[in-house]
Amino acid sequence: MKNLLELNSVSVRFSPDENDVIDNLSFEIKKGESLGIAGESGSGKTVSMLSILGLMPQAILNGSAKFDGEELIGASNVVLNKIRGKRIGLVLQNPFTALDPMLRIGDQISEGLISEGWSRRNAKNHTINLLDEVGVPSPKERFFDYPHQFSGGMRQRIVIAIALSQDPELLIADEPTTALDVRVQKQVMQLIKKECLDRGMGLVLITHDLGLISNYTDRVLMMYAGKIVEDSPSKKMFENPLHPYSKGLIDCLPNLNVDDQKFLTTIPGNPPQSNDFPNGCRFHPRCSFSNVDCKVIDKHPPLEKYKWGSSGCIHVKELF
Amino acid sequence: MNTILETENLRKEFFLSYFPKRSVLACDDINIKIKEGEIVGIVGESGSGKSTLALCISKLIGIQSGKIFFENKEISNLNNSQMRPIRKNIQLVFQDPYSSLNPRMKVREIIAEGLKIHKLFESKDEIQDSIISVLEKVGLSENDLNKYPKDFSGGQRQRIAIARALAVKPKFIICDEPVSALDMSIQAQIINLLVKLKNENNLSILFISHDLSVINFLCERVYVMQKGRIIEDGACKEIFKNPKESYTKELFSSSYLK
Amino acid sequence: MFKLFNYLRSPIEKGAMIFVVFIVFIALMGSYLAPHDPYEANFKNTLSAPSIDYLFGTDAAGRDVFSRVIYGARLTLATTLFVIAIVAIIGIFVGIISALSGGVIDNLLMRFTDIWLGFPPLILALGFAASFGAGMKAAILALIFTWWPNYARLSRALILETKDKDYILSAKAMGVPNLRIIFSHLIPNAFDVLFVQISLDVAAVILVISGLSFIGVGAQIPLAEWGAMIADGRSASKAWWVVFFPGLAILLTATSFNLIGDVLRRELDPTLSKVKNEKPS
Repeated sequence: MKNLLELNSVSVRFSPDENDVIDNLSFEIKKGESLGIAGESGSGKTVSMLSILGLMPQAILNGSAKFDGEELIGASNVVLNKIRGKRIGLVLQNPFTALDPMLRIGDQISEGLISEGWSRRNAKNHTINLLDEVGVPSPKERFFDYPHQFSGGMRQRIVIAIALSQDPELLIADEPTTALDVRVQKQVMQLIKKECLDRGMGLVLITHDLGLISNYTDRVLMMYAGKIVEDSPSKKMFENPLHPYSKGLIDCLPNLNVDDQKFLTTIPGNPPQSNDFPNGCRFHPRCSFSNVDCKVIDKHPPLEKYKWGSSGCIHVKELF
Repeated sequence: MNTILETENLRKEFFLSYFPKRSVLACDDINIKIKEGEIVGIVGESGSGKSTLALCISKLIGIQSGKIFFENKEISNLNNSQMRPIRKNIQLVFQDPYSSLNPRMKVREIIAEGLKIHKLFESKDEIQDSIISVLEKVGLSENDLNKYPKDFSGGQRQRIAIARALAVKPKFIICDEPVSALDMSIQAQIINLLVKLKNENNLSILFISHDLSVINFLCERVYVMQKGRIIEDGACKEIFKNPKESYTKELFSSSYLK
Repeated sequence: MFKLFNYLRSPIEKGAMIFVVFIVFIALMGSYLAPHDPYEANFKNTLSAPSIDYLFGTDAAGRDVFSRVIYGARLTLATTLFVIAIVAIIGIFVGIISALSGGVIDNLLMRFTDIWLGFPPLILALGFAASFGAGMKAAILALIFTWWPNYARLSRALILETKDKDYILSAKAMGVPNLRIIFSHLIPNAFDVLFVQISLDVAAVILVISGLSFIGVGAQIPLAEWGAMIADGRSASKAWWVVFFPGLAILLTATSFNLIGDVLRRELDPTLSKVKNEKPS
C-alpha cells in the first residue's frame, strides 16, 4: 500500500543561526492507519506536523515530506492550499478560538465548500448532514447559531465537521481534547475514531496524554527533544516500552494497581531547550540507565528495528 | 485528630444582573471537613464550583450564606484586618505557573513578602536564611534568588509558588489544579514534592483537580462536585472501587485509569 | 526603559531615538548653546538670510532664529511635559479609584470622565483666552482639562486587566495590605503600556500647543515658541527661514517622539504578537 504521508529526514529550525528544533525526522503512515505522536512540551511533536503543512511561516524546513507522492516542503501556497483543509483535515487544540466568533457555524462549514464550487444549496445540505454526523443536535436549526452558543465539546465537534467537510484522506488532530472536560474528551475522541474508521481516513493524533494514545491509536511515535525515540504498536508500548524515556513517562503516571504507593517514579531534571541539546543521546542526562557510551557517541542514536518496533536506545537489547 | 477546616452550608452565588435577577449558583450547600495532617481532594469538571470553593474558603471572595471554621473558630464573619493573622496559616497554590508570580519581582522578593507581612523574622539575615532554606526544600537553590520568574520553566515556577506558600509556615494549603498545566514528568516531580513536604511539615492539604488518577494517588478522602453541589464523598479507596452515584461512575469510566 | 536601545530595529528608529536625546539635551542646555539673546531685537538686521553669525537667519524684528529655535525647544518640551505630568497624575488617580471601586462609583466616575471627553481643546482654549487673555496659561489649562480623561480611561482599563491576575490573588491570600498591593503589584505591571501613551502624547501635545500658538491663542510673540514663530513669519514670504526652521523643529520633534512611542508599543504591549519571538512548544 502506498504511503499516505511520508517524511524523510525532515528538519526544522526557526532562524538560520539557531539549532534545529527537529532534526532528521523520518516516518510514514498508510491509509487507514492511526498514528499517535506522543511527547512532552519541547519534544517537537506539534512543530513536526504543522510545519510541513506550511502553517508555521517562520519555520525553515529541510528534507522531504510527501503526501500521497506530492512534495510538501518548498511547495507553493497554491499547492498547499489544495491539500490543507481538503485532502488533509486539521483539528487543533483550542475549540474556543478555532471558530470565527462573528460567523454562523453553518456558514463556517459551507463557505469552504462554496469556494470550491459547490452550489449554496448543496453546501448547506452537506453541512447539515455533517453536523448531524458529528452529533450536533437539531442541526437544521443550529446551522444558524454562533460559536458562543455552543459548549466547548460541541465547538470541537463543529471543528471536526469542518475538518471532514471535503472528505479528506488524512486527519491530523493536535491535542484535540486538552481543553475539554474528561467526559467530553471521551465523546470527542470516540467521534474522531468512528469517523476515521467509517471513512477509511488516516489519523495522526498528537498528544501528551498517554491514555489517549493507548486507546485511540494503532501505532505510536514517542518524541523527545526533536527526535523519535521509539516507534511501536501503541498497546505494546504500554506493556513493554523499548526506550528508557517511554518507560520513564509511563512509570511516572500514578499506578492504580499498587495500593499505598508512597511516591511516584519520576524522571529527574527538565526537558532540554533546542539551543541546549546534550551531546550524544539527547536523553542521557536524565536517564537512569545511561553510561559513558551514551555521551560519547557522535550524535543521537538513530532508530533501529527491535522486536515489534524500533528504538533509539543503544542499550535496548540489554535493557528491554 | 483535630479538625482544621470545616464549612457549613456554604453558599456562593454570582450575580450576572440585578434587574432582572440573574445569577449563577457556584456553590450550593457545601459541607466539607478536613482534619489535621490529611490530604483531601475535590474532584469535578469545569463549572463544578471547585475553584470557587477554594476562593470562598480562603476568603478571597465573599459568600452569601453559610459558615467557615478554621481550627474550630469561625472565620466567615471576620473582616480583612482580623483575617490577616489567620492568612499566614491558610496558603494557596494556583493552577497557572505563568500568572501566579509577579513578573516584576525577583524570587527573593516574592518569597520575602509573606515573611515581612507577618513579621516572622527580625533581622535581614534571618529572612535571607529562611528564604534559602525553603528554596532548597522545594528543589531550587540560592542561585535562584535574584532571578525573575521569566527565567524559569513552568515546573520551576510552581516550585517557587510552593516555596512562597511554605515560607510562612502555614498549617493548611489549598492547591487548585497545581499540576494541570505541567508536563507529565514534571507533574510527577511536583506531586512527590507535595507528599514530601506534607510529611515533613505535618501540613493539611486540600487538593483540587479534575485528574482522577492523581487524586487517587495523593488523597485519603475525596469530595466529588458537580454543578456546585457535593454529590458523593468518602475514602478514595472505596469511592474509586465502588462509586455510588451515576455521575461519579461516568467520570471514572471516562478517564483512562489503567 | 534604558534597555530600549537594544530594541531599535531600523535606522529610522535609531535616528528618532538620537534626535529625542538630542532635543532634550538642547532643551536642558539651551541657554548655554544659543549664540544670541533670543529676545534681542535688532531692526537694522531684519529678515536676513542664514549666515555664519545667524545660522537660521533673522526674523522680522531682527532676532536670531537659531537662538529662538533653541529656546523654543526648552519652552515647548517644558510645557508639554508639565501638561502631561498633570494629566497623567489626575487621570491615573481617577482611573485607579474607578477600577478598584467598581460598581456605582466606577460608573459615576466614568460618566464624569465622559463629559470632559466631549470638550474640544481648541474651543476651550478660545474660551479661556477670552476670559483671561491669550497666552500659554490659556493653552495649558485647556489642554489639562481636555486631556486627562484619556489617562483615566487607559489606567482604568489597565488596572481592570491586571487586578484579577493570580499573583494579585496570591498577595491578597498572603494578607498583603491593599495599598501595598496597589503600589507593589498592580501599578508596576499595569502601567508599562502607559509609557507608550505618554510618548505618543508628547508628540500630540507639541502639535496642539504649536497649533494653538499659531492661531494666536497660546504663546504670544515675542515668546520664542515654535508655533508662534511660524505665525509671525507667515507674512514675510520671501524670508523662508523664519517659517522653515521652527516648522522643521516641530516636525522632527513630534515625529521622533511618535516613533519612539511606536517602538515602546511594539516591545511592551503583550497583546501584539512578536513573530520573532514566537515559538510553539
